[in-house]
Amino acid sequence: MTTILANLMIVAILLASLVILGTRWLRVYIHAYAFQSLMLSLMTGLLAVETGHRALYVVAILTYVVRGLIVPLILLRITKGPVVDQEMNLIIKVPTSLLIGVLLSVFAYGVTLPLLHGQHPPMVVGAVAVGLAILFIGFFVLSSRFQAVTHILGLLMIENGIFLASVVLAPGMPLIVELVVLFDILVTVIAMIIVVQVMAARLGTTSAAKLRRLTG
Amino acid sequence: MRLPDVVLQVLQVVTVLAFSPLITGLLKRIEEIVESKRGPSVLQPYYDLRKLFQKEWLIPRAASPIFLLAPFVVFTAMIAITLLIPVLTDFPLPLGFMGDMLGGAFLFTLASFMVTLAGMDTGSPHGGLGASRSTFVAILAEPTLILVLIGVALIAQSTLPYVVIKTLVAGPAAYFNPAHLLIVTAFFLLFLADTDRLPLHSDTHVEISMIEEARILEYSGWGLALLKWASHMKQFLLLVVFCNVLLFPWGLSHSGTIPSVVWAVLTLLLKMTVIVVLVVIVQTSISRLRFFRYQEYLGASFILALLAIIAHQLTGS
Repeated sequence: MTTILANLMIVAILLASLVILGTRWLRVYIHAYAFQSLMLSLMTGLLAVETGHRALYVVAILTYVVRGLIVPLILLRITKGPVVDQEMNLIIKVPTSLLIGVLLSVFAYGVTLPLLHGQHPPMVVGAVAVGLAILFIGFFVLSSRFQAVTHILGLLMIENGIFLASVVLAPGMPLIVELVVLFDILVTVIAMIIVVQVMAARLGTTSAAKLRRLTG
Repeated sequence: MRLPDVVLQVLQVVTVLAFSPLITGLLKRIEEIVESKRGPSVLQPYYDLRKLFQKEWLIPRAASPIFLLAPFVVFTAMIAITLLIPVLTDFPLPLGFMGDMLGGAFLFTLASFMVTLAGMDTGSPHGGLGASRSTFVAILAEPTLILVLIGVALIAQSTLPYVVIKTLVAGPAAYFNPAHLLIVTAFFLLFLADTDRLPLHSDTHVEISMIEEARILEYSGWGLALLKWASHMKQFLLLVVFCNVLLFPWGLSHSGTIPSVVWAVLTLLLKMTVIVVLVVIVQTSISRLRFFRYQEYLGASFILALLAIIAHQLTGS
């Protein structure tokens, strides 16, 4: 039963990151990210039930509140403004980026399997592979899409991937580490929001593709 | 009393022939009700077929034998597919071993190919347009179909639909396998594309936007009736594969007795109604995609099918 649920969640997490690759609407990005975070927190809760670590319950709840609620709500708010383009012009088009996303997932699996094979149950190997895949996909989003908001989301996806891999591999991680990471996320998001506001005020756009010069 | 296999096999074909227009009618009716109109009777496709069968088949002067042959090939292909898939029983019938799911897919493609040829045959511009468009969609949909079949084969270790049913019914681990759920989703997207529905094609009857229909504009009378009936059957057969094999592999007749067969027919219609409601929700809530964005839609279904295979590897089952 646990394995079935865990497998479903792992694949849902991977699916959410492919949804992010497969759309050109900012709103869908943010919802997919929120869904991914929800699945991540459920996965943590499942691990808490399975391993009996009390701290993991707190981590699951905090993960949901910060990654699943606060961050998406803040992002939805700043994308409401008139300066932010709701639909993006993609440099790499949707089908190509989806294919690249799938290739990255396969690559992540190929990297993980020789590392962990035999020492952990297949569910753990799968989860770590998905974590790594999300990390790669996050990098890809960061480097191929030029909206300030997608940059934040790419960063957050990388963070989600690392979190998934770490929570599965080392469920007994101290609570303080997780608290620090969550605080980091909040600070990052707020810093990026300030960047977005400054860009919007100075340039009238939030697209990083328009930035041509480095000035002090 | 257990019915002989031959009778069951015949009943299977009769079920598909008899109920396929009903599902089309049901879909139209529910859709009109959702759009707060009254809509035609559920039996309207039957009336249409009866009317067309009484009329003369006018053959254009430019038509070649292909044009005359196409309705028969298409209709026969659909009946042949009926013999391959589990419509009523969950145990294999004698002719069920003629071909696996890949064989069924070939027959669907053969039928579509014949209609395409017939559409181009008379040289009418609409036929050529429809042929070109439907080939474009078919080219994009084909990889997904192959991957779906590969995914099913990975889960069940077989491409025979009866084996797939056995595997899925065996326990929750097989049914709630992420690979299976992704395949179901990919197949549903494929179903919408293959039966000429939104987001690829809208119901407005304008020649300029037609895809599949444009190919058969030159047909009339009972030739058209055969083609229409075949297209009802195509939708019904895809639904049978979707419901009986992939989504709800329960309720099929296990013993082959008369009550269990009747029950199988009733549950089949019930399952289809569920899917029809789902299709209506899709049809009424989204708009049509631009022609050059079809690849995004079909690309998404391709990725889902590909992901199913990856998920199968990831979860290590």
